[in-house]
Amino acid sequence: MSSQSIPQQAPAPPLPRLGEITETVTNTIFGKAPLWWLIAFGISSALAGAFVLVLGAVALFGTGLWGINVPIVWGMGITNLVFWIGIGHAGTFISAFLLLMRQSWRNAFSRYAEAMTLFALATAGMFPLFHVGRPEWIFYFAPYPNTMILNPQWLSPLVWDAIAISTYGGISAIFWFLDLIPDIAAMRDKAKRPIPRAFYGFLALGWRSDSNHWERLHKTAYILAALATPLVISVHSVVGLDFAIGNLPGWHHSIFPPYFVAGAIFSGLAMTVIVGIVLRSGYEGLKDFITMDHIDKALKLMLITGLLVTYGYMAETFGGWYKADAFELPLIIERAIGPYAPFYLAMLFFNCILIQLLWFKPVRKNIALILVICVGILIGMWLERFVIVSVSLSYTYLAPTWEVFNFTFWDILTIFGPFGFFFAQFLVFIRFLPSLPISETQQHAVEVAHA
Amino acid sequence: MIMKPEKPLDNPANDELVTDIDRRAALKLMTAAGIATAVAATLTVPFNNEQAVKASAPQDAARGDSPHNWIMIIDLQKCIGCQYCIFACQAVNDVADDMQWNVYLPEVTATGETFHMTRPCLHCRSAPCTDVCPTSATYQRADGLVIMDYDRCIGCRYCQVACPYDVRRFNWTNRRNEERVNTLQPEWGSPEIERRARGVIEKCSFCVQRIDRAYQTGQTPGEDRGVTPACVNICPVGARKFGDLNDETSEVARIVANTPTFRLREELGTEPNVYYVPAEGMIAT
Repeated sequence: MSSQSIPQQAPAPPLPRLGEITETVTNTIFGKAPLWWLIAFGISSALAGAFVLVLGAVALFGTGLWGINVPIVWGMGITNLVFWIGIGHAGTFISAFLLLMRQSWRNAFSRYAEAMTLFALATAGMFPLFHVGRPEWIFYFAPYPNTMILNPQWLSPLVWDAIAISTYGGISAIFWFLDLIPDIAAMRDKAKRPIPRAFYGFLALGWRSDSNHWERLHKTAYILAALATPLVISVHSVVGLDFAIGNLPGWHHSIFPPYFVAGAIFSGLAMTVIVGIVLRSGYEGLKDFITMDHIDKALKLMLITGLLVTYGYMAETFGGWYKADAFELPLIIERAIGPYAPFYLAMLFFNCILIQLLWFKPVRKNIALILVICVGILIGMWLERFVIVSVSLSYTYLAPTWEVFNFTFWDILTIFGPFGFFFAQFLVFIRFLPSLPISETQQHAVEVAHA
Repeated sequence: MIMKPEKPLDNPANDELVTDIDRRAALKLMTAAGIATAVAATLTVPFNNEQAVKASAPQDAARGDSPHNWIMIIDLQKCIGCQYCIFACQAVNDVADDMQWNVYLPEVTATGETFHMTRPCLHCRSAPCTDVCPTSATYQRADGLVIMDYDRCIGCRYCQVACPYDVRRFNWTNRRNEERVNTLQPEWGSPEIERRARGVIEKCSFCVQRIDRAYQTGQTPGEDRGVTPACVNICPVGARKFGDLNDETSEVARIVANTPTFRLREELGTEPNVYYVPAEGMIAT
């Protein structure tokens, strides 16, 4: 178990020893906070503060602060909810789906991608809370016991949504923490000062690296992965059903569930790649673990899901044309050439055209281009959600009420604030917890050496 | 991927012991929890569900089976576009000016003749809004009325996007400020129902408070003015009629049976309970 190699495309760098893997990862935490971290955390916190300001204002003065009114009654709240849940999807896809598929190259990504899932869900969770008119009663979504037998209304997709998302959040959190335990124990063992040792010691839950412990952890991880994998498909399918069940032009399509899942993994992978590149350039030592090979594989997955999304756009447009509905046709035409044309065309450009560059190997090796494409995808996927939610609502069954979305100051803050909220959580995570799965990376190194 | 040694290491000393105690403790806890649940369930039986619901139901006629099916007929041939129905609705139900429950739209027929379209809530028999409400805050009573439980509404606005007729109104802000006043509130008297809170949906209820009063007093909505929706009472030309479709002797049932009528966007399958008598030049569908 010494001097084994990490999988690399030739030419391979010197082989890190297993202990060095631990060192490299723990050094990112016990070392002093680098300057880029402080700057990034400052910016994120400021944006997160803006987000909290929006939520506070909305709670205080009512959802009317957002530029929503008849007929566009779902705006930033739902658009961002769908966007952020989508961002979370890649995490579970990488950590659970690929674990079941025995794709051990995923290891470098799995930890921080799973953390992204959690933080994206936490961010997404804010939106329904403040989207509703009376957040103080939101627990009516839950089937809590009461003598009036007031249950939620099971026909409503929003109830399915609440159940799907909370299940997803729970499983993701357990899965993520379980995977962390051995690494937290490693942190505990490496910690020199008493407070970190107590902190990590508490979180390590008495992990002794006993073979029985490993045996059980191993089994539980597979069971949880098997539970989490269908959730990757189900959660965004249910989010898609929210719209597909709504009897509205632009929403009423059976393609929505699969198309939403593909879009979610697509945008999530884009965020994973961006964060991976930032981590690589931030911590020199991590370059040997999050390699260009990993990024290459993620980009190929991104291309596949992007093509699925493109198919979704085509199917949706074709379906609308084919059913020749008197209200669906104007919607299809209006969103392409009407006041929303910049949104719709930009969405098509970022999600369908720009990603075609990923067919070419030199592009998949060019960090700057990758960043441009990934940021483009994030913009494109946000626009997609906006187009589905608010643009469809602009052209409802009653032509006299047609309106164009009116962006207020609060809407703009609601778009950018959540990024700060998300990244602030993420930066805290990489500062205090191992952002790479130490033990799994070691295991992978051993496997590769034996192969 | 997690490290898995070829053979589990043999150290029964600490590990087995810990597991044993844990399992016993867990079993004990589970048994205790099971017993506690059973006891709690038994104790709450007297207070249970159905009695509580029955006691809280405002009118038994509104729940379960109802012999009634309240409908409205709007005669587009008679309507002169005075909008009194809208004003009366605002006065009686305390509706803000920018959230009118009834709306008025001047329309033209295919042949170019103008007519006056007004639209209350259509109280669809197969209402898309009630199916999507996550909390059952909006539901259909057996007598056909689609109504709101303002206490139960959390304001998610799913019903608002599901309604193809733009019937529902949301209280975006408090009714305190200047722009949400009801200019049609009379100086004397008071509205029949409370002002709705910020963050809930509201909509035309066919003046449900009057229908409920009819059940208590034995009067007939559509005939006795005190229990007929305000918009129907005030119409100066009798363009709006209200009554029970299930009662074959009622005026509305006779009209629906003998006159060509149409309902809005029937192809959506919502089965509205508001029937329109087509204006001259319109072809009934």
